[in-house]
Amino acid sequence: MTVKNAENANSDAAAAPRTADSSLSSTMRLPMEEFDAPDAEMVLDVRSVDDAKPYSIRIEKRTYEIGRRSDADIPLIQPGISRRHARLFHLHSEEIIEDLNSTNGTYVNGVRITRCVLQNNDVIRIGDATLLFTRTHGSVK
Amino acid sequence: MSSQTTPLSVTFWGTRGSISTPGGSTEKYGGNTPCVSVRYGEDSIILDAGTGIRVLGIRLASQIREEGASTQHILLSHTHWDHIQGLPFFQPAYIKGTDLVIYGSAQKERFLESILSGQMDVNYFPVQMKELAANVSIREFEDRFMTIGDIHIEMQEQILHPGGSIRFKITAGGHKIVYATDVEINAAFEPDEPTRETRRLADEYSAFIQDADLLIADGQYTESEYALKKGWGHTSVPLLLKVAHAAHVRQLAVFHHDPEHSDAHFDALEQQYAATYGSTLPPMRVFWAREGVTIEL
Repeated sequence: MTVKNAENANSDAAAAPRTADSSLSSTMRLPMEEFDAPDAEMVLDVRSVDDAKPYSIRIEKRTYEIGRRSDADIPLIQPGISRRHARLFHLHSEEIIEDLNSTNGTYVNGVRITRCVLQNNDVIRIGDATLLFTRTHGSVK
Repeated sequence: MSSQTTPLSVTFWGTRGSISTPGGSTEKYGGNTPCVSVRYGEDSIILDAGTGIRVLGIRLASQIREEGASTQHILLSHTHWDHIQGLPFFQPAYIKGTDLVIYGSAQKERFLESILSGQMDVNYFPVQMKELAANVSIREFEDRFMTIGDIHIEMQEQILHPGGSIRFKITAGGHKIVYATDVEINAAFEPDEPTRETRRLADEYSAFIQDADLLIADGQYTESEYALKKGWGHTSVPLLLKVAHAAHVRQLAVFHHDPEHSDAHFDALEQQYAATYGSTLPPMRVFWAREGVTIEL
Protein backbone atom coordinates (compact mmCIF):
# COMPACT_ATOMS: atom_id res chain seq x y z
CA MET A 1 0.00 0.00 0.00
CA THR A 2 1.26 3.42 -0.85
CA VAL A 3 0.83 6.67 1.01
CA LYS A 4 1.69 9.34 -1.53
CA ASN A 5 2.46 12.01 1.03
CA ALA A 6 1.87 12.97 4.59
CA GLU A 7 -0.81 15.48 3.63
CA ASN A 8 -3.09 12.65 2.58
CA ALA A 9 -2.84 10.96 5.91
CA ASN A 10 -3.62 14.08 7.88
CA SER A 11 -6.78 15.33 6.25
CA ASP A 12 -9.32 13.62 8.43
CA ALA A 13 -12.53 15.64 8.61
CA ALA A 14 -12.36 15.89 12.35
CA ALA A 15 -8.99 17.56 12.05
CA ALA A 16 -9.89 20.51 9.85
CA PRO A 17 -7.51 23.33 10.72
CA ARG A 18 -8.97 26.43 12.29
CA THR A 19 -6.12 28.39 10.84
CA ALA A 20 -3.83 27.32 8.06
CA ASP A 21 -0.88 28.10 10.29
CA SER A 22 -1.85 25.43 12.74
CA SER A 23 -0.51 22.08 11.69
CA LEU A 24 -3.08 19.58 10.55
CA SER A 25 -3.67 16.99 13.19
CA SER A 26 -5.84 13.95 13.35
CA THR A 27 -8.11 12.55 16.00
CA MET A 28 -7.50 9.13 14.49
CA ARG A 29 -3.83 8.98 13.78
CA LEU A 30 -2.72 6.60 11.11
CA PRO A 31 0.08 4.26 12.15
CA MET A 32 2.52 5.61 9.60
CA GLU A 33 5.15 2.99 10.36
CA GLU A 34 2.78 0.39 8.93
CA PHE A 35 2.37 2.37 5.74
CA ASP A 36 6.01 2.72 4.86
CA ALA A 37 6.04 3.91 1.25
CA PRO A 38 7.59 1.42 -1.14
CA ASP A 39 10.76 2.39 -2.92
CA ALA A 40 10.18 3.79 -6.37
CA GLU A 41 12.67 3.47 -9.15
CA MET A 42 12.20 6.11 -11.80
CA VAL A 43 13.82 6.03 -15.19
CA LEU A 44 13.78 8.24 -18.27
CA ASP A 45 14.44 6.46 -21.56
CA VAL A 46 15.74 9.14 -23.86
CA ARG A 47 15.53 8.82 -27.62
CA SER A 48 16.88 12.07 -29.00
CA VAL A 49 16.87 11.47 -32.76
CA ASP A 50 16.24 8.47 -34.95
CA ASP A 51 19.87 7.62 -35.61
CA ALA A 52 21.12 8.21 -32.06
CA LYS A 53 21.37 5.37 -29.62
CA PRO A 54 18.64 5.57 -26.95
CA TYR A 55 19.87 5.76 -23.38
CA SER A 56 18.34 5.62 -19.92
CA ILE A 57 18.69 7.91 -16.95
CA ARG A 58 17.86 6.78 -13.48
CA ILE A 59 16.16 9.68 -11.72
CA GLU A 60 17.89 10.33 -8.43
CA LYS A 61 18.39 14.09 -8.23
CA ARG A 62 15.65 16.51 -7.22
CA THR A 63 15.96 18.56 -10.41
CA TYR A 64 17.05 17.95 -13.98
CA GLU A 65 17.23 20.64 -16.60
CA ILE A 66 16.57 19.57 -20.16
CA GLY A 67 17.67 21.66 -23.12
CA ARG A 68 19.99 22.37 -26.00
CA ARG A 69 22.82 23.59 -23.75
CA SER A 70 25.66 21.10 -23.63
CA ASP A 71 25.85 21.51 -19.86
CA ALA A 72 22.13 20.70 -19.36
CA ASP A 73 21.46 17.73 -17.09
CA ILE A 74 19.77 16.09 -20.05
CA PRO A 75 21.21 17.70 -23.18
CA LEU A 76 19.18 17.41 -26.35
CA ILE A 77 21.32 19.09 -28.95
CA GLN A 78 19.15 19.43 -31.99
CA PRO A 79 16.98 22.04 -33.71
CA GLY A 80 13.57 22.87 -32.31
CA ILE A 81 14.73 22.60 -28.73
CA SER A 82 15.32 25.68 -26.59
CA ARG A 83 18.56 26.13 -24.68
CA ARG A 84 16.65 25.81 -21.41
CA HIS A 85 13.60 23.89 -22.55
CA ALA A 86 12.10 22.03 -19.60
CA ARG A 87 12.75 21.01 -16.04
CA LEU A 88 12.03 17.74 -14.29
CA PHE A 89 11.72 18.10 -10.54
CA HIS A 90 10.59 16.31 -7.42
CA LEU A 91 7.88 17.87 -5.23
CA HIS A 92 5.66 16.32 -2.57
CA SER A 93 6.58 12.76 -3.59
CA GLU A 94 5.81 13.48 -7.21
CA GLU A 95 7.90 13.94 -10.32
CA ILE A 96 6.85 16.99 -12.29
CA ILE A 97 7.84 18.10 -15.78
CA GLU A 98 7.64 21.83 -16.38
CA ASP A 99 8.10 23.71 -19.61
CA LEU A 100 10.48 26.66 -19.26
CA ASN A 101 8.72 28.95 -21.72
CA SER A 102 10.28 27.06 -24.59
CA THR A 103 9.58 28.13 -28.15
CA ASN A 104 8.14 24.85 -29.36
CA GLY A 105 6.60 23.50 -26.18
CA THR A 106 6.70 20.35 -24.10
CA TYR A 107 4.19 17.58 -24.71
CA VAL A 108 3.06 14.73 -22.48
CA ASN A 109 1.21 11.98 -24.31
CA GLY A 110 0.49 14.44 -27.11
CA VAL A 111 -0.87 17.26 -24.94
CA ARG A 112 1.10 20.51 -24.75
CA ILE A 113 1.58 21.18 -21.07
CA THR A 114 3.01 23.85 -18.84
CA ARG A 115 3.35 21.50 -15.89
CA CYS A 116 2.41 17.88 -15.46
CA VAL A 117 2.69 15.38 -12.64
CA LEU A 118 4.25 12.38 -14.34
CA GLN A 119 2.81 8.89 -14.18
CA ASN A 120 4.23 5.56 -15.20
CA ASN A 121 4.70 5.20 -18.98
CA ASP A 122 4.14 8.87 -19.80
CA VAL A 123 5.81 9.89 -23.05
CA ILE A 124 7.35 13.36 -23.00
CA ARG A 125 8.07 14.94 -26.37
CA ILE A 126 10.51 17.81 -26.71
CA GLY A 127 11.25 18.77 -30.29
CA ASP A 128 11.89 15.48 -32.06
CA ALA A 129 13.12 13.81 -28.89
CA THR A 130 10.99 11.48 -26.82
CA LEU A 131 11.53 10.65 -23.17
CA LEU A 132 9.66 7.72 -21.69
CA PHE A 133 9.07 8.03 -17.95
CA THR A 134 8.71 4.80 -16.02
CA ARG A 135 8.27 4.24 -12.34
CA THR A 136 8.45 0.87 -10.72
CA HIS A 137 7.60 0.36 -7.09
CA GLY A 138 9.70 -1.90 -4.92
CA SER A 139 8.24 -4.51 -2.64
CA VAL A 140 5.98 -3.31 0.14
CA LYS A 141 7.67 -3.61 3.49
CA MET B 1 -3.72 45.46 -17.11
CA SER B 2 -2.30 42.24 -18.50
CA SER B 3 -0.75 42.24 -21.93
CA GLN B 4 -1.97 40.19 -24.87
CA THR B 5 1.01 37.86 -24.47
CA THR B 6 0.07 36.89 -20.92
CA PRO B 7 -0.71 33.18 -20.97
CA LEU B 8 -4.06 31.83 -19.96
CA SER B 9 -3.42 28.63 -18.06
CA VAL B 10 -5.64 25.88 -16.74
CA THR B 11 -4.79 23.36 -14.02
CA PHE B 12 -6.80 20.25 -13.25
CA TRP B 13 -6.98 19.47 -9.51
CA GLY B 14 -9.90 17.06 -9.62
CA THR B 15 -11.40 15.34 -12.67
CA ARG B 16 -13.52 12.50 -11.26
CA GLY B 17 -17.28 12.64 -11.15
CA SER B 18 -19.76 11.59 -8.47
CA ILE B 19 -17.41 10.40 -5.72
CA SER B 20 -13.70 10.43 -5.07
CA THR B 21 -11.96 7.24 -6.12
CA PRO B 22 -8.55 6.73 -4.53
CA GLY B 23 -6.52 3.67 -5.46
CA GLY B 24 -3.87 2.30 -7.72
CA SER B 25 -6.12 2.02 -10.76
CA THR B 26 -7.03 5.73 -10.73
CA GLU B 27 -3.68 7.25 -9.88
CA LYS B 28 -2.90 8.53 -13.38
CA TYR B 29 -6.08 10.45 -14.22
CA GLY B 30 -6.84 11.09 -10.56
CA GLY B 31 -9.51 10.25 -8.05
CA ASN B 32 -10.45 13.69 -6.75
CA THR B 33 -13.78 15.23 -7.66
CA PRO B 34 -14.03 18.37 -9.82
CA CYS B 35 -11.83 21.37 -9.33
CA VAL B 36 -10.10 23.38 -12.05
CA SER B 37 -8.18 26.62 -11.67
CA VAL B 38 -7.76 29.21 -14.40
CA ARG B 39 -5.05 31.85 -14.25
CA TYR B 40 -4.46 34.90 -16.39
CA GLY B 41 -1.65 37.13 -15.21
CA GLU B 42 -2.42 38.15 -11.65
CA ASP B 43 -6.05 37.08 -11.91
CA SER B 44 -7.36 33.62 -11.16
CA ILE B 45 -10.60 31.78 -10.61
CA ILE B 46 -11.46 28.34 -9.30
CA LEU B 47 -14.16 26.26 -10.96
CA ASP B 48 -15.93 23.97 -8.52
CA ALA B 49 -14.87 22.87 -5.06
CA GLY B 50 -14.76 19.10 -5.24
CA THR B 51 -12.16 17.19 -3.26
CA GLY B 52 -9.47 18.35 -5.70
CA ILE B 53 -9.60 21.81 -4.16
CA ARG B 54 -7.81 20.50 -1.07
CA VAL B 55 -4.43 20.22 -2.80
CA LEU B 56 -4.94 23.54 -4.58
CA GLY B 57 -5.67 25.05 -1.15
CA ILE B 58 -2.40 23.72 0.23
CA ARG B 59 -0.49 25.36 -2.63
CA LEU B 60 -2.38 28.64 -2.21
CA ALA B 61 -1.91 28.68 1.56
CA SER B 62 1.81 28.37 1.10
CA GLN B 63 1.71 31.20 -1.45
CA ILE B 64 -0.36 33.34 0.93
CA ARG B 65 2.15 32.78 3.72
CA GLU B 66 4.92 34.01 1.42
CA GLU B 67 3.13 36.80 -0.38
CA GLY B 68 0.31 37.84 1.93
CA ALA B 69 -3.46 37.45 1.90
CA SER B 70 -5.36 37.39 -1.35
CA THR B 71 -8.84 37.04 -2.78
CA GLN B 72 -9.99 33.62 -3.98
CA HIS B 73 -12.94 33.41 -6.35
CA ILE B 74 -14.72 30.05 -6.49
CA LEU B 75 -17.41 29.55 -9.13
CA LEU B 76 -19.69 26.58 -8.52
CA SER B 77 -21.36 24.84 -11.43
CA HIS B 78 -23.90 23.46 -8.94
CA THR B 79 -24.04 22.19 -5.40
CA HIS B 80 -24.07 18.41 -5.76
CA TRP B 81 -21.70 16.83 -3.27
CA ASP B 82 -18.91 16.09 -5.70
CA HIS B 83 -18.65 19.80 -6.54
CA ILE B 84 -18.64 21.27 -3.02
CA GLN B 85 -17.25 18.62 -0.71
CA GLY B 86 -13.70 19.91 -0.76
CA LEU B 87 -14.68 23.36 0.44
CA PRO B 88 -14.29 22.64 4.18
CA PHE B 89 -10.73 21.44 3.45
CA PHE B 90 -9.69 24.54 1.49
CA GLN B 91 -6.88 25.94 3.61
CA PRO B 92 -7.15 29.62 2.56
CA ALA B 93 -10.59 29.60 4.20
CA TYR B 94 -8.78 29.24 7.51
CA ILE B 95 -6.38 32.15 6.94
CA LYS B 96 -7.34 35.49 8.42
CA GLY B 97 -7.27 38.28 5.88
CA THR B 98 -8.16 36.05 2.94
CA ASP B 99 -11.25 37.09 1.03
CA LEU B 100 -13.12 34.04 -0.17
CA VAL B 101 -15.88 34.75 -2.65
CA ILE B 102 -18.08 31.84 -3.64
CA TYR B 103 -20.46 32.22 -6.57
CA GLY B 104 -23.32 29.95 -7.55
CA SER B 105 -26.68 29.78 -9.20
CA ALA B 106 -29.58 31.73 -7.78
CA GLN B 107 -31.98 29.24 -9.28
CA LYS B 108 -32.10 26.94 -6.28
CA GLU B 109 -34.95 26.24 -3.99
CA ARG B 110 -32.71 26.93 -1.04
CA PHE B 111 -30.39 29.87 -0.84
CA LEU B 112 -26.84 29.06 -1.81
CA GLU B 113 -25.56 30.17 1.56
CA SER B 114 -27.78 27.73 3.40
CA ILE B 115 -26.76 24.86 1.11
CA LEU B 116 -23.06 25.50 1.62
CA SER B 117 -23.25 26.15 5.34
CA GLY B 118 -25.46 23.05 5.62
CA GLN B 119 -22.60 20.76 4.67
CA MET B 120 -20.58 22.32 7.51
CA ASP B 121 -23.32 21.75 10.04
CA VAL B 122 -21.96 20.37 13.30
CA ASN B 123 -23.43 16.96 12.50
CA TYR B 124 -21.30 16.69 9.38
CA PHE B 125 -18.17 18.69 10.12
CA PRO B 126 -16.42 20.07 13.20
CA VAL B 127 -15.95 23.61 11.92
CA GLN B 128 -18.95 25.67 10.96
CA MET B 129 -18.86 28.11 8.09
CA LYS B 130 -19.31 31.13 10.35
CA GLU B 131 -16.16 30.08 12.23
CA LEU B 132 -13.91 30.30 9.18
CA ALA B 133 -11.13 32.84 9.61
CA ALA B 134 -11.37 34.15 6.05
CA ASN B 135 -13.89 36.78 5.01
CA VAL B 136 -16.39 34.52 3.27
CA SER B 137 -18.84 36.06 0.85
CA ILE B 138 -21.42 33.89 -0.89
CA ARG B 139 -22.97 35.42 -3.99
CA GLU B 140 -25.66 34.18 -6.28
CA PHE B 141 -25.16 35.06 -9.94
CA GLU B 142 -27.31 38.04 -10.77
CA ASP B 143 -26.31 38.40 -14.37
CA ARG B 144 -25.11 36.25 -17.26
CA PHE B 145 -21.81 38.09 -17.34
CA MET B 146 -19.19 38.92 -14.78
CA THR B 147 -15.59 40.05 -14.76
CA ILE B 148 -12.83 39.20 -12.34
CA GLY B 149 -9.80 41.35 -13.11
CA ASP B 150 -9.07 40.72 -16.79
CA ILE B 151 -11.00 37.45 -16.87
CA HIS B 152 -14.44 37.68 -18.47
CA ILE B 153 -17.02 35.05 -17.62
CA GLU B 154 -20.32 34.20 -19.23
CA MET B 155 -22.75 31.80 -17.59
CA GLN B 156 -25.55 29.69 -18.97
CA GLU B 157 -27.92 27.41 -17.08
CA GLN B 158 -27.88 23.74 -18.05
CA ILE B 159 -31.22 22.14 -17.37
CA LEU B 160 -30.18 18.69 -18.62
CA HIS B 161 -28.87 17.62 -15.23
CA PRO B 162 -30.92 16.76 -12.16
CA GLY B 163 -31.27 20.03 -10.23
CA GLY B 164 -29.53 21.94 -13.03
CA SER B 165 -25.99 23.19 -13.37
CA ILE B 166 -24.17 26.13 -14.92
CA ARG B 167 -21.63 26.17 -17.72
CA PHE B 168 -19.01 28.88 -17.91
CA LYS B 169 -17.29 30.55 -20.84
CA ILE B 170 -14.07 32.17 -19.75
CA THR B 171 -12.27 34.60 -22.02
CA ALA B 172 -8.97 36.35 -21.44
CA GLY B 173 -6.10 37.43 -23.66
CA GLY B 174 -8.01 36.50 -26.79
CA HIS B 175 -8.51 32.88 -25.68
CA LYS B 176 -11.69 31.08 -24.80
CA ILE B 177 -12.24 28.23 -22.36
CA VAL B 178 -15.60 26.57 -21.79
CA TYR B 179 -16.29 24.53 -18.67
CA ALA B 180 -19.45 22.51 -19.21
CA THR B 181 -19.66 19.67 -16.76
CA ASP B 182 -22.67 17.79 -15.45
CA VAL B 183 -24.94 17.97 -18.44
CA GLU B 184 -26.60 15.27 -20.52
CA ILE B 185 -26.37 16.66 -24.02
CA ASN B 186 -27.65 13.38 -25.46
CA ALA B 187 -31.11 14.49 -24.35
CA ALA B 188 -30.80 17.53 -26.60
CA PHE B 189 -28.90 16.13 -29.59
CA GLU B 190 -30.32 12.59 -29.68
CA PRO B 191 -33.70 12.82 -27.97
CA ASP B 192 -36.24 10.01 -28.20
CA GLU B 193 -38.70 12.58 -29.51
CA PRO B 194 -37.19 15.73 -31.02
CA THR B 195 -39.05 18.91 -30.15
CA ARG B 196 -38.50 22.60 -30.63
CA GLU B 197 -37.15 22.69 -27.07
CA THR B 198 -34.59 19.90 -27.63
CA ARG B 199 -33.42 21.65 -30.80
CA ARG B 200 -33.12 24.92 -28.91
CA LEU B 201 -31.06 23.28 -26.17
CA ALA B 202 -28.77 21.65 -28.72
CA ASP B 203 -28.26 24.91 -30.61
CA GLU B 204 -27.62 26.75 -27.35
CA TYR B 205 -24.92 24.25 -26.34
CA SER B 206 -23.24 24.34 -29.76
CA ALA B 207 -23.24 28.14 -29.85
CA PHE B 208 -21.78 28.35 -26.36
CA ILE B 209 -18.83 26.05 -27.12
CA GLN B 210 -18.26 27.32 -30.68
CA ASP B 211 -14.56 27.95 -31.45
CA ALA B 212 -13.44 27.28 -27.89
CA ASP B 213 -9.68 26.98 -27.54
CA LEU B 214 -10.35 24.50 -24.75
CA LEU B 215 -13.59 22.76 -23.88
CA ILE B 216 -13.69 20.94 -20.55
CA ALA B 217 -16.80 18.84 -20.85
CA ASP B 218 -18.79 16.07 -19.27
CA GLY B 219 -18.05 12.80 -21.05
CA GLN B 220 -18.73 10.33 -18.30
CA TYR B 221 -20.12 7.37 -20.20
CA THR B 222 -19.29 5.12 -23.07
CA GLU B 223 -22.10 4.65 -25.57
CA SER B 224 -23.16 1.31 -24.09
CA GLU B 225 -23.14 2.69 -20.54
CA TYR B 226 -25.21 5.65 -21.59
CA ALA B 227 -27.94 3.36 -22.89
CA LEU B 228 -28.36 2.13 -19.32
CA LYS B 229 -28.05 5.54 -17.69
CA LYS B 230 -30.35 7.82 -19.64
CA GLY B 231 -31.64 10.64 -17.49
CA TRP B 232 -28.74 10.47 -15.03
CA GLY B 233 -27.48 13.86 -16.24
CA HIS B 234 -24.24 12.93 -18.00
CA THR B 235 -23.03 12.67 -21.58
CA SER B 236 -21.62 9.87 -23.72
CA VAL B 237 -18.14 10.24 -25.19
CA PRO B 238 -18.89 9.65 -28.91
CA LEU B 239 -21.60 12.29 -28.98
CA LEU B 240 -19.49 14.81 -27.09
CA LEU B 241 -16.65 14.37 -29.59
CA LYS B 242 -18.99 14.76 -32.54
CA VAL B 243 -20.64 17.91 -31.17
CA ALA B 244 -17.35 19.49 -30.08
CA HIS B 245 -15.76 18.85 -33.45
CA ALA B 246 -18.73 20.30 -35.32
CA ALA B 247 -18.39 23.44 -33.17
CA HIS B 248 -14.71 23.77 -34.15
CA VAL B 249 -13.39 23.22 -30.64
CA ARG B 250 -9.59 23.16 -30.78
CA GLN B 251 -8.87 21.11 -27.66
CA LEU B 252 -11.29 18.91 -25.79
CA ALA B 253 -10.62 17.75 -22.25
CA VAL B 254 -13.06 14.97 -21.47
CA PHE B 255 -14.06 15.46 -17.84
CA HIS B 256 -16.15 14.14 -14.94
CA HIS B 257 -14.76 10.63 -15.13
CA ASP B 258 -16.96 7.78 -14.03
CA PRO B 259 -15.89 6.31 -10.66
CA GLU B 260 -15.95 2.83 -12.20
CA HIS B 261 -13.43 3.70 -14.92
CA SER B 262 -9.75 2.92 -14.50
CA ASP B 263 -6.64 4.55 -15.94
CA ALA B 264 -6.40 1.72 -18.46
CA HIS B 265 -9.93 2.50 -19.64
CA PHE B 266 -9.04 6.15 -20.32
CA ASP B 267 -5.74 5.22 -21.97
CA ALA B 268 -7.66 2.99 -24.36
CA LEU B 269 -10.27 5.66 -25.13
CA GLU B 270 -7.61 8.30 -25.68
CA GLN B 271 -5.75 6.00 -28.03
CA GLN B 272 -8.97 5.26 -29.88
CA TYR B 273 -10.13 8.84 -30.36
CA ALA B 274 -7.09 11.16 -30.20
CA ALA B 275 -5.58 10.04 -33.51
CA THR B 276 -8.93 10.12 -35.32
CA TYR B 277 -9.85 13.65 -34.27
CA GLY B 278 -6.25 14.88 -34.49
CA SER B 279 -6.22 14.14 -38.20
CA THR B 280 -9.65 15.54 -39.09
CA LEU B 281 -10.23 18.93 -40.62
CA PRO B 282 -10.15 21.06 -38.62
CA PRO B 283 -8.03 19.00 -36.22
CA MET B 284 -9.25 18.71 -32.65
CA ARG B 285 -6.92 17.61 -29.89
CA VAL B 286 -8.73 15.21 -27.57
CA PHE B 287 -7.49 14.12 -24.17
CA TRP B 288 -8.91 12.83 -20.94
CA ALA B 289 -8.38 15.44 -18.20
CA ARG B 290 -6.01 14.34 -15.53
CA GLU B 291 -5.03 15.70 -12.15
CA GLY B 292 -1.81 17.63 -11.81
CA VAL B 293 -1.70 18.84 -15.40
CA THR B 294 -1.40 22.51 -16.32
CA ILE B 295 -1.89 23.57 -19.89
CA GLU B 296 -1.40 26.98 -21.40
CA LEU B 297 -3.41 28.49 -24.22
